[in-house]
Amino acid sequence: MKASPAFEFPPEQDEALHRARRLEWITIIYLISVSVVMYLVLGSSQAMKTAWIDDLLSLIAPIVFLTATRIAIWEPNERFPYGYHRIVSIAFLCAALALSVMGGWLLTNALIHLFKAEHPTIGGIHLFGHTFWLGWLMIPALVYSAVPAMFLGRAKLPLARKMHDKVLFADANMNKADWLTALAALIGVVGIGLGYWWADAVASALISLDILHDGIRHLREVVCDLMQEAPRTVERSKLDPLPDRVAAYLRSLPWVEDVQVRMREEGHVYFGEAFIVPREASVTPEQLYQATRGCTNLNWRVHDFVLVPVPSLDVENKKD
Amino acid sequence: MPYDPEGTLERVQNGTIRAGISLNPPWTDFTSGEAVGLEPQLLNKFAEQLNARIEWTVDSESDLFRALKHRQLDVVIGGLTSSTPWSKQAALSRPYLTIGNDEHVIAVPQGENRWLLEFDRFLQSQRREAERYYEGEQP
Repeated sequence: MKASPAFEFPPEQDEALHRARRLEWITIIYLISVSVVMYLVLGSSQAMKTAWIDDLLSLIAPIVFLTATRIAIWEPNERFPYGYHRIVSIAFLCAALALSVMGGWLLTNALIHLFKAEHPTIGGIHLFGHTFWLGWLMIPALVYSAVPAMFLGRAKLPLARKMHDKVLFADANMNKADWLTALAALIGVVGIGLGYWWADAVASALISLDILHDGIRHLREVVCDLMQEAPRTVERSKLDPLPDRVAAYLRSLPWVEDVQVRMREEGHVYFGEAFIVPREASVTPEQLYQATRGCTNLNWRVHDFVLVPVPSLDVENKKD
Repeated sequence: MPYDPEGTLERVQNGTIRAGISLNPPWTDFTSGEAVGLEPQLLNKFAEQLNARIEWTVDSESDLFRALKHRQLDVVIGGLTSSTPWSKQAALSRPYLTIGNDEHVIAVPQGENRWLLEFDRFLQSQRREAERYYEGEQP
């Protein structure tokens, strides 16, 4: 059996991968430190608790990325002839589910707090011989949870585009949007300080809505991926023009009369087939081989490509 | 910051502190018709600082905490520790005395953060005295 090629990234993408992996390790260490700091100043503010859980959940994407990029490059074998590329999507599915469930749960909690009119308590803390309001400590903790995250997100975005990595892309965007969570929690804490007990529950509801929204969006995207939707750019806004370029290349070959291309994403790379109507009755294996090479050389993402000569594109693949 | 959502501190200043007391000697006692023990002593001193008088309610812990939850009381004392099962119904102060693993606290309504902070500050200033008092009580 001919297994799929083992190679995943050309040198440029490989370098991006190394940098992305380093950034994700930094993210993990940073997020752990954020979680500890946040935990120490939680008080009984629901907004702080939600922001804290948000920080913990943010750990999932870097962990998924680091594991998946290791496994995705395992060589195809008899048992997994298409390789391990799709582990990325499966891991992402789990992450999206976790986000959705957690977001829903936190939102319910926030609404319960709001309707029961629970007054959040933030008391005093005794440090360096002074007893002061714990809320004052929450503010720098929240700033620490947001500002470095924004820079990390900004640094990861171009790498995600280069590698065509949707997990990294989602992670980078969540990091970039972390300041919204921190700002909401901050408003909650300042609201409590000013004597508005409901500010806390409202802020918590907003943060959980954001988590839920992220979860559902990622869930929809990854389900589309697993349904083998036609490839899209990492931003998802438009269809990837690559299959059209492949079709145009094949059509430009002198022996090709007509062609139809279909492609699917497997993690970072594309698999696919082209159905070719040759001009003449006979096609040599050498022609097919050269054309296949031509397709995979167009772009590194055209990973595993199969050419099928057919008498006409109208022939349906019906079984007799 | 912080302010009280229900304005407790402002109300009790030059006014009345509604205090609940459950009997738990040597921390609290009321048998003589007067609140005595370490905690009433602390509370009296705090009231003095705020120029407030204290209106005592003697009851069981469960009744007192129900009243506290409904904001019919401003503070509950009764030899409470930070591991009290009532911690979900109330806001607990910082400990004014630590004996072994027992952190002795008082309880105030949830969310009255200025009121709680004033208490925390006062109790912090009384820690040494509370310790001395406790040691004096020991045979």
